Amino acid sequence: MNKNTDIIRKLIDGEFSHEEEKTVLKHIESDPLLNDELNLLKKTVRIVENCERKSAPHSFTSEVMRGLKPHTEAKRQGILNFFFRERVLRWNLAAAMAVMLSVAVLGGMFFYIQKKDILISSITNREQMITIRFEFYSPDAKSVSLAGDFNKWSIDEAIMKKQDNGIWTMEIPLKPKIYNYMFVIDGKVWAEDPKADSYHDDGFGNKNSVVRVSTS
Amino acid sequence: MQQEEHSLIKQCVEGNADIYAVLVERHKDMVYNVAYRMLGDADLAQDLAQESFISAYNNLKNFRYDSKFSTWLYRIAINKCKDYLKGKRQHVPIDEISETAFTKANPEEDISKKQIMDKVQTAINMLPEDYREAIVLKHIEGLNYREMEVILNLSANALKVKTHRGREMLRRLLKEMGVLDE
Amino acid sequence: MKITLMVKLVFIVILIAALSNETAIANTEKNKEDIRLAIEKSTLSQERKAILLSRSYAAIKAGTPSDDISIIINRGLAKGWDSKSLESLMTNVINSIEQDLPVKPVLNRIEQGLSKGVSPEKVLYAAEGLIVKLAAANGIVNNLVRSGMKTDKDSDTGDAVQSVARAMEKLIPETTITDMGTKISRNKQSITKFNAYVNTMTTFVEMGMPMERAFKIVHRAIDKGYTEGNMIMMEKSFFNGIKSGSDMNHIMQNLESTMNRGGMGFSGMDGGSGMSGSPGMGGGSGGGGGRHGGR
Repeated sequence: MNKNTDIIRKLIDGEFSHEEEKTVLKHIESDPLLNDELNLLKKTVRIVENCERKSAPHSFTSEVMRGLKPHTEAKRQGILNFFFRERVLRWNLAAAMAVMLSVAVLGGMFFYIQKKDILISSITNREQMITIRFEFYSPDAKSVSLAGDFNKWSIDEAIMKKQDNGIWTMEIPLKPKIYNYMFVIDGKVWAEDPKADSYHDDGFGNKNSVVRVSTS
Repeated sequence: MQQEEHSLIKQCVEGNADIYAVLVERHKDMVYNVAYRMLGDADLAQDLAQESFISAYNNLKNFRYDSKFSTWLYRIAINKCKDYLKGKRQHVPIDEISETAFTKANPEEDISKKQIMDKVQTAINMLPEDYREAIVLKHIEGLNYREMEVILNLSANALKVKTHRGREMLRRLLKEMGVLDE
Repeated sequence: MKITLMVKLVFIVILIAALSNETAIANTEKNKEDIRLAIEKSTLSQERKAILLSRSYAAIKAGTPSDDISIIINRGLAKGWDSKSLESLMTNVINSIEQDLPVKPVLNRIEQGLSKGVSPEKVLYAAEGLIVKLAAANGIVNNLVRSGMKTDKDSDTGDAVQSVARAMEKLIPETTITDMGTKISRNKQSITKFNAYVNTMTTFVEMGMPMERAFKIVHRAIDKGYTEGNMIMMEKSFFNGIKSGSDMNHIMQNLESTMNRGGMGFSGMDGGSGMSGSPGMGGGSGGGGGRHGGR
């Protein structure tokens, strides 16, 4: 800060002694520009200082208290974490036994079922998957991969296969949904699919290709 | 006062969580106010203010009884606000500021107090964070440079410079908004 | 005996659940270890390593899938992100879980930004913007469901929240979206349809169609009971127009007259020629003029 600015600052912050202040003020007031600046700054500070203080909303304290974790529980958590390793081991043992048991039971069941003609469909709910074929023409590329919503945008997971005609292809089973994706050429160039169903902004100023997998 | 507060804190650390409500009640307006002035948004301020108290509670065992609890709270609150702001763009482009902030009021009309407050907050929101926090602590919270040193982890000299630069910027902004006209 | 069979079935279900739980725990532990190693190998200071590790674990504890946290941390460190930005990512993720918002879209956006090499500032800004919109979208979708919109399965609501958030990111007003939802509800159509219509509307607006017009076109589609297949065809037709260089007015007129004629599969019945539906059929076929060096 230059000398005058420093003086003005000190004046506003009240850092001069009574005597010093009188001298300094005379100097400032003699220069209309400096005087103006001082007064405007003082006014600014006054306005800001007079800003009404905001009060916290009514439920504030109860919400804070609700969000607290009591120390005792935190301690308990720590202890649990310490023993977690052991617990995993014990789970393993139990799980191993469970596997053997279930295999035996299942084996028995299978026999039983065949006799009874009951179909037990897989226990996990399998939603209808549709295989989508992606194609990208890029004869000079050394590698092309597919990055999208379905593989967490990994650029080296879905490596496409090159055909003789220079078209790279890949088939992926997908559940009915809207997916954003792009092709990544040689690990660094991001390209859109000219034959995509649609294009959506990616939130960063680029456009993603979109495939809408649906059953209708 | 400080002693009594220290004893309350000790009780919380020892596991008496309910006592913390007393400390929250005592300091909630201050923390909320700081958050509001730093962020310019009431809902955001409420969230960050609450988070500050929760964070403070979880770190109570680290509280060194050599300073005031409020100083410590200020620090947590300012840091949370800064973290939040850092994730956002550093400065808000002009066209996003409400147009009304820059329309000068009709000199014949009385500018209502609320309008001035809003403009002032808009101006504060436009300051870079480091000027903003200096202005908020010095001129809204009324702290001295020594206390600000502890809260912001900066030397008093650096703070004096930042505060004054903040003032100069505010002066320019308020003038453009017509708040400084006689 | 039937009863014994049922008991055995229940027993097996429990065992398999326990087994998969066991696998899930092991998977989480593996991911946590990967995260720890990645942070350890990084060039961050000891203090920041500790903070980042604890934040990452906190995100997992809050309910974020550990796979995603591992990906984000690994990618972020590989791209040379500073620790504070990475910590902010974790905070954002935790915040969205605490607000009961669908966290997958947030994770998706972060993973995408990291993969694409977007700067930390931009990614954080985009992620935070999304969270705000998701919060608002959550409210809108919940209101519609409470007022009676049909839901087919749980995942639909999450998808709808994402679509509404996307619409709001394009500045489509809340009232417009709510009106659309109310209309769809009244037609006894489900949230899946709502999702499709909102998406098409947003796509049109994104590409520069004036909002009023996009609104009218989509409302027409709703009235005609267009299926998702129809909507896909509409968007394709729209994009073909864009790519061929026609001006917007021309494209919109085309769209509207096609809807009037009920042609090109816009019959509102069983959707047009299969762009989707049968296994093995090309749904997203790519190809065409060498995009080498494209973006």
